[in-house]
Amino acid sequence: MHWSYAGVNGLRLSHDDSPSPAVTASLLQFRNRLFKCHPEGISDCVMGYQTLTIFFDPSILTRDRLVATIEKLGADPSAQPLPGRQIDLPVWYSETSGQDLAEVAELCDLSVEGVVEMHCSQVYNAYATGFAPGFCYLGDTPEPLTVPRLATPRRAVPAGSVALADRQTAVYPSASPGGWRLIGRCPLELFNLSKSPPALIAVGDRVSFKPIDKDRFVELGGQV
Amino acid sequence: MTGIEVTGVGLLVTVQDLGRTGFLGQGITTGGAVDGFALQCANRLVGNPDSLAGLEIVLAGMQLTLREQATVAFYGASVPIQVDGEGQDMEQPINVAAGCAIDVGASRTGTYTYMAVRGGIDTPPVLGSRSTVVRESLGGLMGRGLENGDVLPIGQSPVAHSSHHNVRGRVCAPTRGEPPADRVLTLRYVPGFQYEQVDSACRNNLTTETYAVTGAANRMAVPLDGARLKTGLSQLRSEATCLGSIQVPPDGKPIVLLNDRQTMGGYPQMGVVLPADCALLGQSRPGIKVKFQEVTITEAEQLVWLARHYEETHLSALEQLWGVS
Repeated sequence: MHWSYAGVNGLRLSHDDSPSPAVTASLLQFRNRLFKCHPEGISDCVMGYQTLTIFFDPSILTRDRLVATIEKLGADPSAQPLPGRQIDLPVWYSETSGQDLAEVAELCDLSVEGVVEMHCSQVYNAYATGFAPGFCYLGDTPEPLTVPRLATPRRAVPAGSVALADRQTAVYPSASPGGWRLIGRCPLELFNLSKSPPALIAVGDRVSFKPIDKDRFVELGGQV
Repeated sequence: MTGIEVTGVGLLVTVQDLGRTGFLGQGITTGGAVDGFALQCANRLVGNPDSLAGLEIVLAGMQLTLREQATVAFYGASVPIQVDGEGQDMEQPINVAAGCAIDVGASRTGTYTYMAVRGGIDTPPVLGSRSTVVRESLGGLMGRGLENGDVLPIGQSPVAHSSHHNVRGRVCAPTRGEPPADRVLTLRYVPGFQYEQVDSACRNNLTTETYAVTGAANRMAVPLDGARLKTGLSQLRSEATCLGSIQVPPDGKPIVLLNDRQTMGGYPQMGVVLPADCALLGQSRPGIKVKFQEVTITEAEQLVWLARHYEETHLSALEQLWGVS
């Protein structure tokens, strides 16, 4: 792990290993320990696949003090990473709810059922949240499900859309433009400002997808 | 009847304060006035604390009718102002009687003009801020730009700043605004992120080439036109972005990220422009020339300190106009 500057009020920690659930867990744990050392003065922390970017308020916490803490914590790898929560997301997979499903099957040389089965076959690591409020990057998808992004992003992707891009998968929390390929829709609310925290999925969580039919989708609050 | 009624919007007018902190990790961007200092100046002129929300007017003006007596002030990009047909100055507190119409014309230079009202624009705060992020339908008035017929509530007048001496006069401090069209705006940045990984020719070109602000500039980012930078990098893993991040997309034309940026990005970032320079860049119209200048972290800290010192001095002087010491 090493650090560098992210502007005047930011520091960027970068993990030396390639992205993995273990790297996410160790960065998260490092973040939690930093918060404990400096309960005030750290204004924001953003987790990336192998980075942790910390923004601080220099009127409360100087960069030198924060750097000293980072170096002290970095030298003490004794604490164990915390396991994330397990979250199951129901998904209505169909060409109505995921308009690229057939194309994805063709690109991956799989049947539509094969795509669904493979997408549901494993537990994904929540690597990072960003792009839009509550949008969580989940990965890695099984190798045969690797698909490129759309050449031209869609102007509007419906809220709840379950999508694929490269070795990643995600659910769009709200309607937005998007360039990922859509394979289904999740009826759960992924982002709600009146909840604390507003985002359903947090970095470090373990996420699985479970297939449901249209009736169940509606029952769970999905909008057809 | 109370509040401010919107009777006309030129291009985009949003409710903004100094932005949201603490939610970047959940993908919620900071938002906030692009020229935060100009908003603070407007607030001081009406005796408000710096944290209150005002209106950010983009380029093409707006029309309002006050349903109650209020004191307002304008700061930032230079605009003509009329209250019931009578011309008014910027950078002054203006007392407006109930029923009066305010007409803000198109800006002559610069992009963002701020209107503060004594008591602040009192839309409900969302996650600790009233700033509007239109892309996310978040904050401000129902998460969107103002429209004809909207009524904005005015907050209670701040208690500590209650006496109004109605001083008229000018503050003898240089106003920060758009740089003159014949001058090059210097964007000072601290190297970081992928800076060490990009080709050395690319690093060199970043500081030797001159770029121009393009018409695609908005509250999210200012895309620049000029020599293409070849970073030699592709397919990065997404990571945090900063206010002022210099992003280089595959077409090689650098983009400087502003207040409404997406919280994460996958393009190479070469460094971070100082906040005061971001505000000046945000104010700059298409065609304005810019140059990047690398500074060390120590230099950057000194520059930020100096900028803050300048701002504090200027803000205190403005407060005198309101008659508060």
